Amino acid sequence: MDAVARAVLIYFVLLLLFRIAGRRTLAEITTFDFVLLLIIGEATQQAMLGEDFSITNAVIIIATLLFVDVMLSLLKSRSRRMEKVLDGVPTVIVENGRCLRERMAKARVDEDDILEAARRLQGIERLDQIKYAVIEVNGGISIIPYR
Amino acid sequence: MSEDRRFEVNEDLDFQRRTWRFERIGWAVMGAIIAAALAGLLGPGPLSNVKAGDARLHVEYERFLRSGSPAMFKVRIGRAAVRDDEVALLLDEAFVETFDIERVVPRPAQWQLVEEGVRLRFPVADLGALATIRLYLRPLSSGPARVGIGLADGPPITLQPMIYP
Repeated sequence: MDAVARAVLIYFVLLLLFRIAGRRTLAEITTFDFVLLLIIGEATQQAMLGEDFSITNAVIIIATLLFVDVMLSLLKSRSRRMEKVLDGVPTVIVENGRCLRERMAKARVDEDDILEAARRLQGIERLDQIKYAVIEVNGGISIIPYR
Repeated sequence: MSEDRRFEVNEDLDFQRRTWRFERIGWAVMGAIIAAALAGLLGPGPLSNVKAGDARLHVEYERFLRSGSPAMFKVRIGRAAVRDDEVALLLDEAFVETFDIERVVPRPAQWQLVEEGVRLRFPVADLGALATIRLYLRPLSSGPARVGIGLADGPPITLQPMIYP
């Protein structure tokens, strides 16, 4: 009984904390971000398992975490509002070749980040070749070039 | 699969539909595991907590335990269990083999080895209606167990906890 409660609590605490921390894709995390994730995992593990290292406990905790995740995904597919709240919304940061500075500052993205994404995804060389750039829900920047 | 499709993709919709069905069955199974855990069928919880015994010796224990995870049994001793200013609690051989006895509160004055197992002796000055002894245990093995706990005289109470791995 305890295990289910712990797992649900940890799920929502992590969801909230990562929502506060903002978006970053797995592809774009730095080595340090990765180390940070490992440490967070380590700290979480203690709180979730307690003193119970049995297989049964592990199965219950994993089942609970995945179940909550699946249920939330079903909820998200039904309600646009829930999707917005849980996943966030995409943000346009370059429009018709013009950088939207205020949005970029809030999203903590600068021109270099946009150019990097543009090079990687489209082989683009200069900012003025970009028609649109959008920060997607998963934190990645997608680029639409001028044709 | 339509034949005019020029798009090279290894689609197998029948297989995909089976996978989707399998996923949904899996969700139900996960939900069932969670429900069982909440009810206390996979470890300590409401349905796991059981009582056995009578007014002299009464044991409150968990029917479902997990191997290696801490557990606590509450033993209640009635006044009728006192003999010669002491209470002697007998844990049988199976009990000692099934559980690592981490702590007994209050601490017994003596641990004695006897033929049937281990005897814990508690000196008694003045006993109210009931005294509680807490056994802090850690299951060592897994599977169904059958352990006995009793007083110096009279038949022991048999507990049959299920220990999950």
